[in-house]
Amino acid sequence: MSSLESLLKGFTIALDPIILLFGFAGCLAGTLVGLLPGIAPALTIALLLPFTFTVPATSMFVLFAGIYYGAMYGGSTSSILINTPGESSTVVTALEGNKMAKKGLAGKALATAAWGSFFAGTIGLIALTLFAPLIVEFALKFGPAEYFSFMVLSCVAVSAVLGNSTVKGMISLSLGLIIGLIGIDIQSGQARFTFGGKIELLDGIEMVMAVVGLFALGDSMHLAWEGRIKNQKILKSPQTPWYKWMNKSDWKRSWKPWLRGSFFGFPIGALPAGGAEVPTLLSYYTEKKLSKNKNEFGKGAIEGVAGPEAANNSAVAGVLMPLLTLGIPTSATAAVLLSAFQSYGIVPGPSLLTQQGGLVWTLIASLYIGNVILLVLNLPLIKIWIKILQLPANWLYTGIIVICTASVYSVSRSSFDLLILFIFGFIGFCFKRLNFSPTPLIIGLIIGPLAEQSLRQAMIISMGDWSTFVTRPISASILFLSFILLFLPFVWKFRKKII
Amino acid sequence: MKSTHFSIFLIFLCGLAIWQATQIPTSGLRDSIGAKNFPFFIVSLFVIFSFIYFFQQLSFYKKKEILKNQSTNNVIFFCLGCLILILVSNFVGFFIASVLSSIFIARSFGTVINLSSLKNCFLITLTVWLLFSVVLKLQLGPLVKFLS
Repeated sequence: MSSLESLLKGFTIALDPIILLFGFAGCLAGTLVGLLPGIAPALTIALLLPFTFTVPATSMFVLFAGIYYGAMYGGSTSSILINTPGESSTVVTALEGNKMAKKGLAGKALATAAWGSFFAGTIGLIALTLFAPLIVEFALKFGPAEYFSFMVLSCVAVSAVLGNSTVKGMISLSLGLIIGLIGIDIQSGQARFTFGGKIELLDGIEMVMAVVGLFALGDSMHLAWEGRIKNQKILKSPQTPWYKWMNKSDWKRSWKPWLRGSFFGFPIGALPAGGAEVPTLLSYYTEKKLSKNKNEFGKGAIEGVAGPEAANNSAVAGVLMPLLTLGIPTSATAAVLLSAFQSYGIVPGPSLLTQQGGLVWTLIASLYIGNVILLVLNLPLIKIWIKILQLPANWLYTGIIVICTASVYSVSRSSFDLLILFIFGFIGFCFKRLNFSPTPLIIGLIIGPLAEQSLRQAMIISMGDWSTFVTRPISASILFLSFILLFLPFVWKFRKKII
Repeated sequence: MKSTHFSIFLIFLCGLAIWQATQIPTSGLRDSIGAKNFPFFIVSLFVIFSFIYFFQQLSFYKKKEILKNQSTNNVIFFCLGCLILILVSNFVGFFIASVLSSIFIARSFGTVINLSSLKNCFLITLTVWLLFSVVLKLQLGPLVKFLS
């Protein structure tokens, strides 16, 4: 079956009223999550993981996809109206978007962000539809050795590229890998890192605790420590109807940045450690360089909103590419999604598209539909979003903590889980305070057991010969790339010192 | 929390990780990697980078870290809130523990504790409890544990 036929089949399932309802709920929740600073889509999806025991996989993944996409749309609204990015990938939008809003051009900024997100999201999805089967075809040739090398590359890239220090990235990653190994080893049945076989640790650490602790508790504790919780001044929303916010000249100035942003977003998002932050920055600086209105940059240039917003939405489709085709997460949200696949007993990887084709194509189809839902949700409902932004911040964060603890407690009603949550919260606080990125920890936590399994399989196949990783060309190339990525920052620093 | 304190905390974690890694029994299976080797490799990685960070911070320590006007009191209130939840939830149930905890959490965000804020804490927790237990059918236990 061709990818187009599979996609059409996916649309028939995704347009089922119940599935559509889940998609709508996801988009709505995602927009809310994106709006509110301090709640990441990874956290929201992690909070919903307990429902994987009761809700069918297709409905749940459509919900998750809506949350992931919606967060990108919602993040731009808070960036533009209160200069507080709800998402790290919308930080760049705040640079020009908030300046535009201060000049009374909030409507134009919101409209170019929403339309740009829609067009770029669709372009990204078309690319995902076209390229995913090709990558799967190539990846089917991979053996455990290639998989292990790919996981090493993913881990190293996330740790060395994200954040401001390779050392901090590697500490975060190795801590995550160790935490991922807690529990009973599936192959040998030995208990590892369980402090003498403590029963609560034998099943390992739940992903939800790590994500909620690091992102929700850690960030909230940091905000409390900074003592700067205050209600933001929200700029007024435009009074004219939403369809009149952009005029002909705005469309003319926006379409090229949208297109360029899409082309930055998808390929970079698909790379390990690409994420959505790098393409938005690249798009912003490209637009600044190419714009005919360079003097407007820094004072509210529409191109500075259009390009980065397109880039971040296109990157979402890019991030899904390695997850759906190789089973390798390249962002915290993708890692949580991978964990959701595991809770359904689904093994992500090249076989996902062949064995669970229905689920994957429904997920992709629901993203196309979600794009349209989000366009409808974002512009006409802007007044409702503004009302939400006016909630008192202190009560908002208190509510978030209560929801997070309730979600963790509901898993097994154990105070030990709450203790683990608090430990992760403390680590999250220290990470935030000292500029460590929590993403490598989350990725290490999920990749650790998978990498160990691939390593063992590769060693069994090669009869214990370690050279299998460097004698197989694909594996050797990937390991070489990882090696360069890991040591390049140190060599660069050393060279700079000498010069 | 200064970076030097955190680097010492990391060294402490290294100690724990090494101790736990040495406790893993050797597998009886004919497996060239075994249950021990991969954890040993990861722990070594953690130890190496933690020590690099520790020495980096030691050299940085002389330059003196400048902290802005952060509030340690707020963090103490936050931690107290979490601690109450951990210690009390098993005895009185999640609802009461969470109401008590949310008072301290709200205080850590600068809320003045008075009758109105106590009411807010109660309402927030009640809403969450109803949402989880009644609407979403997730198990948070009885509303008041010692009465059930």
